Amino acid sequence: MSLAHDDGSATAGQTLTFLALGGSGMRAVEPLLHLCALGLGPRQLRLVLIDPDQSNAAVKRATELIDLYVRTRRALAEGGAVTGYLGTEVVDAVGSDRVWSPIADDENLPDARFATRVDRTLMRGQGEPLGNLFDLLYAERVRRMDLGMGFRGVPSIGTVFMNRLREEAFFAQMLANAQANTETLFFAVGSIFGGTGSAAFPVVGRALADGVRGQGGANGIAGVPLHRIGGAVLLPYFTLPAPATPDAPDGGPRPETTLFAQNAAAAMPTYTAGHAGYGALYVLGDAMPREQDGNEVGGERQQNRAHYVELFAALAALDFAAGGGADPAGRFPLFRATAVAGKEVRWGDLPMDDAARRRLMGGIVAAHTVLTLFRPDGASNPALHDELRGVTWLRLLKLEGRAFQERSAALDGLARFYARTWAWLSELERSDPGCHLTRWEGRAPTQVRPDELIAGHHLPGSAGRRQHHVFHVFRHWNEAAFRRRAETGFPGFLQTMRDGSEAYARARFPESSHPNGAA
Amino acid sequence: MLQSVIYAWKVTGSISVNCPGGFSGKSGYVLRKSVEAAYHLNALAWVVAIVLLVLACYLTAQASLDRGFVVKWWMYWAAAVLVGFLLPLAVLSLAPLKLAAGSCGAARAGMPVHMSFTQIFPSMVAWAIWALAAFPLLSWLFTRLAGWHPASRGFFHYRGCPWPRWNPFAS
Repeated sequence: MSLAHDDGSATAGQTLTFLALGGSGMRAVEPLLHLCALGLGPRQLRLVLIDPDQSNAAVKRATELIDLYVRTRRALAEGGAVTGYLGTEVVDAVGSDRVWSPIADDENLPDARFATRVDRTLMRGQGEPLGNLFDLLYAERVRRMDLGMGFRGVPSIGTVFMNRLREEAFFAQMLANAQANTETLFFAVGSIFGGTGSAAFPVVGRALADGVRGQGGANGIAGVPLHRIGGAVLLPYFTLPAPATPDAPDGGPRPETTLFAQNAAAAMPTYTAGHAGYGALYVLGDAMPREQDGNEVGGERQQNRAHYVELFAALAALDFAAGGGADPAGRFPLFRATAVAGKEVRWGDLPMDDAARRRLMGGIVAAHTVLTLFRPDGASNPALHDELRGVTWLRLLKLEGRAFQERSAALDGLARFYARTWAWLSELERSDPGCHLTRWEGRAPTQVRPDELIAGHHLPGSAGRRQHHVFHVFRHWNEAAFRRRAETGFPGFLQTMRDGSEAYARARFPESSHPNGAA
Repeated sequence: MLQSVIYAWKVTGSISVNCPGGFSGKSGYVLRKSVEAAYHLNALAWVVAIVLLVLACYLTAQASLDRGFVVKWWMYWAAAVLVGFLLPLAVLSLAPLKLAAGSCGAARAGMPVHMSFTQIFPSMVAWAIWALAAFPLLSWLFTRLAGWHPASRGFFHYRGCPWPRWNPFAS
């Protein structure tokens, strides 16, 4: 994969519409936002979140993070800083509802059971054969499923409702925008072994490719060319522990781990044959799926730890954006493959080029600097003004320590967001299989030195050297500020932070350093 | 005292020393040229020492301006004063002065003699006070003149010291 990054490069100039389908798709939003916050995102990211289970912990976590990102970016933009970290403009394509639910039209109905939502009770008289067919196709416990808790491993139900997407105003608007802006790319992420993602993935791809048919004299909207539609299908990358009860609380089915592989195998031919409307497909999975902590059916208690496969899904989206979509002259769908060497993921396993890897490391250094000096472990620093007095980069940018008091809302937001990034990376590190990009071992930012931020990269013979602190990073910020001295003030500060942190990462964690050394 | 400070490097009068050998109790006079040479050597050594201290202070540090560097800078300043104080003792007490012709008898003309501690002490005080002023002044000059460009390394990264960041207790 190649994720180009300098301003004006492929990724940075793109508009990407990211469709998060179901719980797994939703969980890919989090790493995607963190990557955007660390400076790897496209120019604009339009988010479409699709899940009938709006109380799902993954939905809540994603929407909270989106809110935080948007608020922080707004505060930074008020200071004139709209490039670099959090430079990606994040837009809710769905509108004020934020998450589109395929059963939303029926939500005024108090009864969310499947049979009720398809009006089974009205299938009498002449409709009796249809009712019988319905009963034949769906078991009793499926018929009484509460759809508000998701489609739970039964995508055949979900597909019925997912097609409502074509009737949505926001979807029509999305297609219309795609006609106007021919650079806009679409990327969907969803699992194909569960319920909602499996139901949505083929429908979304087809709907994007086919467009909207005109009805009642209204003109239709043409679909998006295949090379501009990409997707990441997630194969079984986790399993679920045995549930306390065989059925869900509503009497409906639970997702069954034993069916995950079977579901995925059954679904794959749809994608390999190119029937799903995607020009490029990234197929992601794990040979040793992790068992989740709990087996909850929807709702807030369905909280799962971050997984590296979700990070890879986000990286796939950025890779697709970097390439400007699939090759228009190519045969569709194109498949991208990568592999992790060994049980645990390390820097060398990330499917990104050196420049992107360096930018990510620099972003981590910058986040750490914010959480160490500007807002130590997320708290305010009353001595900040004194600590920064006379610092070279500050003087080159014609800033004073009190400038940061004036921009405290922006810094507070940045610190809150980076605290989430820190927690997410720590969670990935503790995960099993582990994603060992860091080796923080649960420590707070102020307890980690800059030179031990990145796992697996250390300079030979550096163990006995003086331990680094944040002012070692500032040495590189000074030089970055010197190079960019035409850009002063708060906008210059964010550029300096990015350039300087990347320079520190280049110097401290070079490619030639020991790849498996203790960080 | 002020005179002593200002003219510490300069020979302001004849220097008398105790005559060596069988002329004990008698004073002899030292060749003015040899005294001047000793003072110039001392001045040169002092300049080199103070400049080296400034360079070492700024160029051996590996980070950017923080409280730790300001503390270090004060320590180097104190070291500069100490060096300024002790250097004349070393240089002037070891410098071989020559007796003036006819002084202490004709046979001892040109014999090496040395200055006493009491003769050197005013210079020690004077050069220490000069060091007190020179170290921050040189720091300021170097950070202003060389510190504008990153190639000057420490002078660029620590150019906020001594001004406006001289007080380690401010943070």
